Amino acid sequence: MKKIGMRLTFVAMVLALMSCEQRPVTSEKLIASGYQKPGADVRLFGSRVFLAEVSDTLSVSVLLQAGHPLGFLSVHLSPNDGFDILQGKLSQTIALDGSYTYEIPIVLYARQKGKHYLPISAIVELPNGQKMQRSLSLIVQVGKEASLRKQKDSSTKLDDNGRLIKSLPAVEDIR
Amino acid sequence: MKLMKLQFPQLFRYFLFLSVLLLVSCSGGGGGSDSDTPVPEFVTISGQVSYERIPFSLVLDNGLDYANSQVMPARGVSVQLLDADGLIITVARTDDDGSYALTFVPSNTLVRVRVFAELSKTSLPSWEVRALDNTASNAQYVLDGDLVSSGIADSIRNLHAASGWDNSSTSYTSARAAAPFAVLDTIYDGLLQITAADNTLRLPELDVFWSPLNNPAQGFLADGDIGSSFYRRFGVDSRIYILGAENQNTDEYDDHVILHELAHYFEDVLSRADTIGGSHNVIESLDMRLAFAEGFANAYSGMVNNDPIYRDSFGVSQNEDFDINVELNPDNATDNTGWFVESSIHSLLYDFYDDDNEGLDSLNVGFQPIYDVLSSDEYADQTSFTTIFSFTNLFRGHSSVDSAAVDNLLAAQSIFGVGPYGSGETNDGGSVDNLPVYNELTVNGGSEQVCTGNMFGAGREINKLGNRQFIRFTTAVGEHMITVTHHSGFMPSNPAFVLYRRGQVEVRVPEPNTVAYDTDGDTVSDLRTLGFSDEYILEVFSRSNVDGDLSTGGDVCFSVTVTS
Repeated sequence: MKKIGMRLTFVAMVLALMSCEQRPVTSEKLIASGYQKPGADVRLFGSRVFLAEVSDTLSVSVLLQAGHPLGFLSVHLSPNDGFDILQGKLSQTIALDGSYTYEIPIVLYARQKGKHYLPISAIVELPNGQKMQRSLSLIVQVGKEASLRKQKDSSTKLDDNGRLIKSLPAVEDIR
Repeated sequence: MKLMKLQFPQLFRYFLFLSVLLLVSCSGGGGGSDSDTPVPEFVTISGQVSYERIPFSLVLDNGLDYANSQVMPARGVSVQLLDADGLIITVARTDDDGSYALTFVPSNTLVRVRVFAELSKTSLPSWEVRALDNTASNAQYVLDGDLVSSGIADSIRNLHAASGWDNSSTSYTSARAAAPFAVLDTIYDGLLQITAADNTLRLPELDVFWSPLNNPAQGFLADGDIGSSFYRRFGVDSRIYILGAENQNTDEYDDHVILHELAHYFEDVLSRADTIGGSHNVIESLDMRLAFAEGFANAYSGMVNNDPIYRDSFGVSQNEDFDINVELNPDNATDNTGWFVESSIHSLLYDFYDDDNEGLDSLNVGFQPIYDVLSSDEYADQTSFTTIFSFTNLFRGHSSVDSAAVDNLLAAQSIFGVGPYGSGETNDGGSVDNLPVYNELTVNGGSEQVCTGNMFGAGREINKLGNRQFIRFTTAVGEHMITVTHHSGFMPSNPAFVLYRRGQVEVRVPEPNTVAYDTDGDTVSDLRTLGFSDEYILEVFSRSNVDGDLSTGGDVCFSVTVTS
């Protein structure tokens, strides 16, 4: 019963993550667009969360919607500890031709359990020489485990006033 | 009884022995006067709090320059002195040199200095800004010194928050303690600037969330999946989230990025911002409300430190950046210019502000008139939306402003409309459907036709020019039926509208995140009682043009009626 409950919770979590791309949500946990910083108008289109088990080989289509009709789009993918990129270019430059949607197919090999990220840097250079950038990221969930990065953080405690604090070390000079 | 007779030599030895005994017992062990000095009951602990700031490279595009990091004072932050049990003994706040003094500290007591990553000022002008970790249950960042005896004399304890960067490995190898303090110190500059314009301000609380886990993925904020640095109101809470993902995108040292988001906070709490938010870039054709809000935020980021070059770092080791020069006026002969272009807006506002008069720019009014307009009751209560039109309508009337000079700059940015509604505007951005800026409708007077589309802007949908059209109408209190019906263009046309009164939403039809919103159709309507005799604005659009899916949507026209 406990295992079933955990499985259901996991499925619900993944479904919630996948629903982010479909419509704006008002849950406090999920981001609505907000007032963002300026940058290249490049967005992820389609799936942003991919599921796998350890040792799975996963075909992923990175769909980018680049709103600039002309110029060049340079895309850089950063490998991650949790998976290998078996096929697909880590860096490429695409001539923008008004298509607006560009597909970058890649094949991933899931090596490690956890919630992993595929960082994508998109740099647009316009015909007038102006350059803008936008950082994006896909989520690759391997297995059911939470992000390994977050699991390592345990430096919070309550202070005298009952406030939750996170202690950072000072370089201290005492005289 | 026979007395013991002592010989003289024996007497002398006894006398000498007694004298030595007396001397030793009176000396105190180290100098006769020290044993008389009382130990002070209290001492003072003072010092300076600093953080490591990483500047941008002097060369544009080259990102952050870790080799030339700077030690900066942590200004205006809260300092506590704690005993060994963690109980607070006394508190202080650093001054503009980062200096603090903790007085009446019990002597010879184990104590620790703790610095809170917060800016807290209760006397006017007042503010409360906290730096929190959204990936650690929103814990507040603190910088902790060691537990050391206070001693019996005044002492100095300097605390420094290091960046955590290791130059040899070109990576972060230890705690990034400086980051929250760098973010706060940038915000401190913004607070000083806005309160210089109004020293009676009582600013609402602002929480700033930063974490090294804050990354560009979109998902759960508690996981750090924040998408981008952004400002948003969550209920009554004003929040800024800042990226911190090493080798992807970090913003803790990108002061213009932080000030851009701070500007949205100021617009939200001190002024009025009708922007619909979302992704944007400086050269595309945007919804006019978004263009003004983002243009102001860009310009403001330059005004705070008199530096018009907005820079945003990214990449491996943060060794790249892109820049936006808010002083640079787009050329209306070659660039996209107009009332819907962010770069037109930010270059105008910066020209109004700065004293570097170039080209047509003859204005140098500083920040005060801009603040006066944005914070005025007239601006907050206007029936029109917050746009470059409504701003300049009031700005022209400010006593410090030469209205003719304003008009010259506006014309150079292809902005010709006058009044808060941009009446008479001739720049249609490429489609006649975009003019007039506001259509007008008479209640019970027949239908008004508006046409929307998805042909403008870099992404063409959601928040771009032409996705939504606006209709003004004036009416009395009472029951009204508002109907929006397909007139021409693609079907199902999926119409929708939002009814506003002075910037406040009266109703959204259909309501987002409902079955009705996702149901195809060609007519929507709403029957309701309007409670004010006033002017209202209808925002009309096709749901297919704001869903971000270019496989749907397109040019479509609607007939709009309002009956009472």
